[in-house]
Amino acid sequence: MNRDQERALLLFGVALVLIITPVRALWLQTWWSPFAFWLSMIAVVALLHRTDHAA
Amino acid sequence: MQLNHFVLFFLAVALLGLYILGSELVERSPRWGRLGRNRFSFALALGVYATTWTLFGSVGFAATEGYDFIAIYFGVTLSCIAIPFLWAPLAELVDRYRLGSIADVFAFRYQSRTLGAAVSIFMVAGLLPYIALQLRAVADGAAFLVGEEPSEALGSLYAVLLSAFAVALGVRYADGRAHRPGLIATLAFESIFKLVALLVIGSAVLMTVFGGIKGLDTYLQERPELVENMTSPVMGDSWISLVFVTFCAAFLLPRQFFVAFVQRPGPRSLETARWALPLYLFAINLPVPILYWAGRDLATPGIRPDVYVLIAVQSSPALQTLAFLGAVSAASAMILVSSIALSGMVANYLVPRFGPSPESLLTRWAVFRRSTIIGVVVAGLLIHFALPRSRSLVDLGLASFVAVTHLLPGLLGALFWRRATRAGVLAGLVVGATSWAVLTASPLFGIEIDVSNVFALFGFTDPSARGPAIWLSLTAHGFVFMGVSLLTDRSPEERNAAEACREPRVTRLLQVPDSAEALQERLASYVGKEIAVQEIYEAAAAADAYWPPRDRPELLRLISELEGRLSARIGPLAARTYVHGGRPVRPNALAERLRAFRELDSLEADASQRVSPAHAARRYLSQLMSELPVGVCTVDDHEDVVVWNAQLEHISGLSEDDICGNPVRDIPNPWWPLFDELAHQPSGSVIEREYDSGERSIQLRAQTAAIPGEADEGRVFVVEDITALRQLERHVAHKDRLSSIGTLASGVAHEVGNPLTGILMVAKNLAADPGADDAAERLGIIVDEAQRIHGIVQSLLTFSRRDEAPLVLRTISVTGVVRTAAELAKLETEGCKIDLNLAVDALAMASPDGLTQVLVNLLSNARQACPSGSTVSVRTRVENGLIHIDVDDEGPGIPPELSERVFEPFFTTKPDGQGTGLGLSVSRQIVERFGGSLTYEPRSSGGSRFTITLQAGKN
Repeated sequence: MNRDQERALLLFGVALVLIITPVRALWLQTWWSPFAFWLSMIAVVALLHRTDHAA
Repeated sequence: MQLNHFVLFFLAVALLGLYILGSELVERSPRWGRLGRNRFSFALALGVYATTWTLFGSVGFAATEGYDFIAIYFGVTLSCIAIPFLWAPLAELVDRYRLGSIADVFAFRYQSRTLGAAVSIFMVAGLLPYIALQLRAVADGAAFLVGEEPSEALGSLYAVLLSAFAVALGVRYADGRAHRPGLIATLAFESIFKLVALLVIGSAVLMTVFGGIKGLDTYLQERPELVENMTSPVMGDSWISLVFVTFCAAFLLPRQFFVAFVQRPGPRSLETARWALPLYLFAINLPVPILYWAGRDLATPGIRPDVYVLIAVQSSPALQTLAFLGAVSAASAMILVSSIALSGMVANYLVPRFGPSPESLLTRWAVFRRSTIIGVVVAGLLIHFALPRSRSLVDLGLASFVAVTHLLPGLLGALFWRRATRAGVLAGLVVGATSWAVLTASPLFGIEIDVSNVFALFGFTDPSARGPAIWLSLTAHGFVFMGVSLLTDRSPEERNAAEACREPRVTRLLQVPDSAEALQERLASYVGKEIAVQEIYEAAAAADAYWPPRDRPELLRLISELEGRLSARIGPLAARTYVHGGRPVRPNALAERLRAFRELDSLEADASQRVSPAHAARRYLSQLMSELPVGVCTVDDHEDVVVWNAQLEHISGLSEDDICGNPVRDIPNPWWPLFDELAHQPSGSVIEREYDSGERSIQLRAQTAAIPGEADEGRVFVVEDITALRQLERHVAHKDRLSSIGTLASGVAHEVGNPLTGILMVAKNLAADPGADDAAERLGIIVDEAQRIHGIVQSLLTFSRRDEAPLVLRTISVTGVVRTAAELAKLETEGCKIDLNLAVDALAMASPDGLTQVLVNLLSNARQACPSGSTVSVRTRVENGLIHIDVDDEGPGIPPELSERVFEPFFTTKPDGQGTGLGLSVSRQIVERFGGSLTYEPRSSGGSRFTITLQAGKN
């Protein structure tokens, strides 16, 4: 497993916890917070992609 | 304005007609063709995931289950995060063996046509509710807009339209494994259309119904129960199940698999999709809650929430029409790609053979594809008729999603578990398909089978919830799959395929043909000699191999290419059999299929040659560009790579498929900095770089030029491998130095001889009188003289050493180098004296060895040219940031008619045998590699002046 895959696996684990465990109550506070959480998740993936590419 | 069926149908036809025209344009025009190879187009094409479910069904889903509707897209987002470790290995496998469908993956890994057929049947059955969903959404939408009740006739009308669209485009892509830019561009454009449609409608509703974001916020603050109704379902049981099934659907749905793995433009495309696809889905879902809240307020009792989108914009027929066209667009794309993917599976695994017919094979093949596509749509229509009207769009879509979830165990086994067997996968699939039919599909038709007791055994109290059915059936599937796999043995073919799925080109367990002749005979025994020879020749050309292959590695490369090409046309199993031997299934049918594709190829080739002289010229230029012995890369005005020729592939090791269509900045390291620098250099610039490929070091010279045109037409980069040239130059320079040492030989003997005589005499005296009082002083003389000799020898060794390493420029002291060169030149006994006039702190960019060689050459020439008693002067000066070194002599000078030729190789004015004619030529070459110049001019007072000009160095 290369570095990119390791980082993706780690991010996947974190996202999984945030999405399917009861922790998800955290991003259900307002009508717009699910979208804010979703967008921040995409931003982290994009940032990771950019960092991988730069490396 | 009242909408009517004629207007809606006409607009739908016009939209789909535009898609067909756009596809043709992209397929035919190289300029537009780039759209289909762009990685953003690819990510947008994956947006085919968003169907009418997203356009209409998501609002209905939000109405009943709040933010659970986002789970359908959170699953995809999670799946995209998993691209590097889940999608990427699958993509590599599909690429390596040119697999065309998920059924191919199963059939190849488990070496079983039966399994391929089982997967195909399950997928066709599983996808029919989804196709029914599309037809229902479009037909219901049209009926609502004209104020009628949905009818079967309306459903049939749009089924005919969508079938016609799928047939028109689908047959063009008969060889589904070939990357078709037209298809990707069409899907990308379709994705943009439905995104824009939803965003426009959402914005209009936000402004007109709620008065903007603030108004919406106030509206929701006054109705906190609405927000509560949206968020609370997410904490319920269905959420995790929905995320899981959509995680699988994101890459296992036949249309997703087809776009993501089979139509992928290049290896890096998936990297962009990691964030671009979730971002697209995020954007398209933003308006959903707004449309739900608006529709909820405006809808009359009894209206199904699936049409809330149309109700929310009921005051604007234009926006209603836009929403309807968005749904038509989404449905058409889904049906197009799904039917292409499914018809490929049907063709490979479910059709026994083409029946005897006087028609040509190609005609029969086209008819077969059309029939399959129409058959799939008609079956979906029948399901639409059979399903109760009470079923929501989401119910239908989820049924298909749950079906594809059952492919996950077998797929994970294919990728990561060598012990998985075909019996295990087949048994698991039978259990999974049965449980899907009982627990998921039957209830759609109102057939309820009471399994509450079974659910209760596992602690599930609500049998109507989505989770229990999914988890129980999947758990049963998984246990059966693993249990049977552990209890059964793999055949040798399965073991080999399992290894091949993990390691590329594993063929040790297969009967690899021993020779090229054996390979040809084996293939000919299945498909006839003529086709065998053609296929092998084409594979050899594609694999860059000779025919017959010169050695075994070349033979293995050819076999791998041949297997991949055959796999793309007749399926992976048959390809393996044809190449590696064995008893083929349906040999006649497969041979016919192969012949049909060859016929198709030749027809396409004929058609392309008939297009126009301009097209022929373009092909000629393209071929020429590809065969040029220098690397050529062109980029367009957006800095996207258009051409990456074969020589550049050879130099960089990067294939054209990976680079073309992508921006310059996406060229992988270490090449990206070179092309990025070239892209920002003025036209005509030349850059030299050295690259270490691990095995060898290569030196490149790259030039850039703007492509002339009315506007900015892009640039062309020419990259030349000058490693051999530089080695030759170093060799010549070394020879020149040795030649110089030859001329210095007599001086060296003199300079070494004098101190040596002194050492000898003092040593003899010491030997005769070892106890002399001044013994220490005499030893000191010996040491001094020996050091003098050592200095001379070291200078000569340094000067004459072979310089294998590439030239490295650094800041050097010109003064020091001039002094060293003067000392060396003075070793020559004959000639005039050397006068140095050196500027203080003259630092230049150069190589000390190279500059010494140049100065020795110039001083040696000057001393030989000038009369006895005269002076050769060396002067350094700093002007305008440049360092100038003048070497002046008082000789006769060079005749004006010869002054232009003194730097030519092998030109000399010296008598025969006294000069090679290389000194000045090599010297100029060395100085130019420093970025400087070497010039000659006659002195006004007589004699010659050679001037070295160098870039100033930095302290």
